[in-house]
Amino acid sequence: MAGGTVVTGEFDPLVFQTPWSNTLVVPYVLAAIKDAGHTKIAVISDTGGYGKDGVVVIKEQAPELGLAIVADETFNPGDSDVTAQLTKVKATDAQAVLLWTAGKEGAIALKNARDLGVDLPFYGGSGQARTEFAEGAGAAAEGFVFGTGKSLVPENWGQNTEEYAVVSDFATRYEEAYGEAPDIFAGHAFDAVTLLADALGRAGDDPDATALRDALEKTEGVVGFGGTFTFSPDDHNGLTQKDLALYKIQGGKWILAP
Amino acid sequence: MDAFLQFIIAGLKNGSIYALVALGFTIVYAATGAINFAQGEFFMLGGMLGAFFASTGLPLPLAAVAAIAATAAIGAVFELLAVRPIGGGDPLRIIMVTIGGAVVLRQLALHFFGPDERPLAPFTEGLSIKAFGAAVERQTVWIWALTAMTVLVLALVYRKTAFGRAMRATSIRRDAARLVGIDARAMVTASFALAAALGALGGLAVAPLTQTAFNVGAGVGVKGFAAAILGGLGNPVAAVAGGLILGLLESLTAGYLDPVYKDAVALMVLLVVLFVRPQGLLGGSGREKV
Repeated sequence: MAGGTVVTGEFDPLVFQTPWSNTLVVPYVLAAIKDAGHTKIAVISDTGGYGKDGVVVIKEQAPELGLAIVADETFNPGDSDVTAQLTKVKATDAQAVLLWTAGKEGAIALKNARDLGVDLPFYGGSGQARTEFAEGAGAAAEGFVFGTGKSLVPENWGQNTEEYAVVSDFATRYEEAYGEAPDIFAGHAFDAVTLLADALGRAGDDPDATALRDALEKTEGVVGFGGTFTFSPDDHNGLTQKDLALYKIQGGKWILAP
Repeated sequence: MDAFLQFIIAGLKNGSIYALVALGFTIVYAATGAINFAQGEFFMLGGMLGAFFASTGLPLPLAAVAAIAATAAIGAVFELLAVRPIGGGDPLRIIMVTIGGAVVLRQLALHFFGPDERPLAPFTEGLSIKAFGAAVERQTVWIWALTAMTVLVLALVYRKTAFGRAMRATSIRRDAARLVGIDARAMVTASFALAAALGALGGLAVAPLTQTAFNVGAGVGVKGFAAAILGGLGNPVAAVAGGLILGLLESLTAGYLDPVYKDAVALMVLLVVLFVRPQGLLGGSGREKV
């Protein structure tokens, strides 16, 4: 359920990944930054697994899109203040800031930025697809753009699609069972079980780990919360950029960014 | 230089929080000779309870006062249940019990409030104040004001009130204090309650800036402890000085070296002080206590 690239890149061949991996979301967000007309970005990330992994992908992909990284700042998970890093960013000629973190420091970064008068547009990834982020950052999150799955707002799929049916059915059942709307992590767990069940159905009686892995690798077109999964021996994440969407925070709510 | 001033401001802001937590350590140390490692969790409870009370609809000032009072009560109950029964008041056993107590408090918070972070509204809304090329958040001004007020009030209480003098007497010579009719055990309970209240105030004051969660206690506890050691255990002025100095060191390290080392600063300071000057910067060799 982790979004880092190394999860499937470097780990055991028996590992599969259900969230939208950094290799997918990073270029998607970078393309959005480029489309907005920016060429110089500052990157702020945390030194935890998700942030560190994201920065590696960002550094690989940015030059290919013609984006120059003019600042590369990091903070530690648990930091209560990102003022030092933002002060350094303010001193560069960055035109936009890319935030890559999954923790509550994201909200702190936005608030610090507003207080310091860092007037640049901020972008982010799935780590900011949480209500706690918008709540915590409050007015400072206004205009924040991030890329994550379409299923964050299920209506994005269009009311008559199989994806919408799966996601809204999941949301309804989750809310009935637990009394609150599911967040994306619940969705990723749901996908994990759905994919396992699908693979087990094809793997025959009492498969061992290798047989199960082989069955999973043959998964094709299984629709879950994350999108449509198609695994292969080289791809243990199974999702594509068609499963992503770009959002903007406006008035504390997520709307589709134009 | 703008950046330098900004780093100083951030350092003094965090330093004030460390000062409040360090005061808590010092007060309990003065009363019992032991370190209360649950002090960080009192910091956490202040913020979490404040967020909880605010979410039930209480206006922020009431929620804040309720959170401080509740945490002070928890501190007192903790002392009564976990510390007082320790026969002989052996500091080493008290330390071990407070470590366990810290874990219990953290898990209870996780159980009751869940793992997600909670926001707290700033005490006054509004953009930060710009001065001399740097920005000061309004909440930072609150933190400074509250810390300064707390230190003044504590100083007054300790010097001028009977209660304060009783606490000082207990920490100087416990048996002599009992001879003159001071209830030493009640003073210990009171010191825990007071330390909890101070930690809670720190937690409340910083929560609007950083949001709070069940696990913020451990990190701040270590830093507050390092600050108390840096200044010199047992001396409230030293605790505040240690807190501010540590905050500044951290902020300047993050600004001019590498933010990655920020958390390491407190630990390095702790080690250096313990090796080189264990009584701390302001600690004398005598036992001038609270």
